[in-house]
Amino acid sequence: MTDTAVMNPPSTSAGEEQFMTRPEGELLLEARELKFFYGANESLHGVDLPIEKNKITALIGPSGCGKSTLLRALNRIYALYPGQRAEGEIMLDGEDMLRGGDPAALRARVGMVFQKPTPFPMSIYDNVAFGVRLYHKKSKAEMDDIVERSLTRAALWDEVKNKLHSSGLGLSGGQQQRLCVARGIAVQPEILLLDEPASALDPVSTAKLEQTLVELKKDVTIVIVTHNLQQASRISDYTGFMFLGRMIEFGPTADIFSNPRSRRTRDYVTGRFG
Amino acid sequence: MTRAAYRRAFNGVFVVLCSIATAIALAALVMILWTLLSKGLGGIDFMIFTKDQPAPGSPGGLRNAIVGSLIMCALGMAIALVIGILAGTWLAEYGAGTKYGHVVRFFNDVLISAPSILIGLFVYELLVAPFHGFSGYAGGVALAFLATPIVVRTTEDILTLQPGALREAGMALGASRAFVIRKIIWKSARTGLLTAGLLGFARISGETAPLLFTSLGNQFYNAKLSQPMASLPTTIFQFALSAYDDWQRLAWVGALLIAVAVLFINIVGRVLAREKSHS
Repeated sequence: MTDTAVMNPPSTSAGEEQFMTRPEGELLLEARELKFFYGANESLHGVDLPIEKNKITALIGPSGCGKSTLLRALNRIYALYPGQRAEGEIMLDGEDMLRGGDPAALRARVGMVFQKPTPFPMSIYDNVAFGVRLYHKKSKAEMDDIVERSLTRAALWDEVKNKLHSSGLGLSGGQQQRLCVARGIAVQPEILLLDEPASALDPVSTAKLEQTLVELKKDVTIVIVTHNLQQASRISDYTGFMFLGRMIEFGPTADIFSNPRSRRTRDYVTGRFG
Repeated sequence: MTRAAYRRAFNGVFVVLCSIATAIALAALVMILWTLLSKGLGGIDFMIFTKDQPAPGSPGGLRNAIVGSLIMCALGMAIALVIGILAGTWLAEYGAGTKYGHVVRFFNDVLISAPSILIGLFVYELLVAPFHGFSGYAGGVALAFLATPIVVRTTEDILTLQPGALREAGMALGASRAFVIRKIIWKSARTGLLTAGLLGFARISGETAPLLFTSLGNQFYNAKLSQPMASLPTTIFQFALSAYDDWQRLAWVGALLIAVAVLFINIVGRVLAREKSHS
């Protein structure tokens, strides 16, 4: 029975029931009927994703279900690659970000942290200051302040405050990932997207990163893609379960994990497939 | 003979054949270095670097040739690095996967293996014949033609190795593509880019044919690029073919200098590349 669920070809799931529970609070970002194409290959088939402000929204689902693709559509990072395009709407503060607009300006409002840590080949200080320098001319004192605040919020300050001017490449994997978080929040984005940020980290570093994210949501809205279901249930307020390019179920995390409405969601979160 | 015994025997024969081939290749290299050292080392003295090339029978050195070689190689590398790194960057960052990119890469590979004498003739037609004179400029440009494709290719290879996530991370902060390339990708690849320059330099430092047609050579000291200029390879060519023992000794010294320089450059390049892969 589980097997047939997995084996269903994409075409038959077109009419499949989708269970959407919209958040009650104020939405900051909303994807509507989002379709995504790698060349001629449609990999998202009209996905809706409402993101409530100052909450953590997790995207889960088996490999290849489109959760990373959805995340990468939200800041239009896919535009780097010819042949990749998105259709539909991505509303940020009532403005459709897919149409018009400067992608660079969008990305300043929607930060991103990647699966593997991506420290730039420069000092810890310059890593954090990199994004800020793109937009503002700050005095040294102001920049020092921004760097300290960002590193503190990313829970990295105490570990690096005495070596701010040594290379960011010299940090451990977990520290590098928190450096990337600090770099991302230094430009004060409204949203931070994280694509499996803990998959390359050990459990201790993962716990630190999760704690950081929970504290960050006071100021930043967070969307996180994760393969780790415990992680999703630990830190997120809302969870979306995706399958074969569709949003199968979306709702409060507690409902998704303890009382899913879709049979497919139940099979996945109870570990029967995926 | 059992199958297992046959396999063991075949394996043994194969290893022996490979070892012999390696020994032959190494022996050739060792013989070249040995000949260079035994014939050249004795002739090295202070005058090599302070005196210009002599008339047969008088004492002298290779100063004019060393200076000419350094100047023209520097000019050639300056041109090759600017064009090569920019073109290699285009190939890796913008032209990758496009039809035009494939065509450019193909022609660049053709240029890498183009006979250097053809490059010399081409630059002769381009810069020597129209201006009625051999010059250091023409020599430097000919060397640039030889080094550029190597720099292009190495730059492209090095940049392609930089993780895509690094580009995305830069773009995700709102930086433009060009800004990310300049501030992050080039920085991340800087030892590789240095290696590209060193490889190009090693390639051109011993080239003779293109210089014969362009800078010609000069028996006097000359640091003016607009005049014919001496160089180590052309001086070696001239002295080695001469009938005078002292000129031939100087030719060996010049050959040794080039070999040592190339060896040194290659070692530096290797060390830099290794440090990169460790970090």
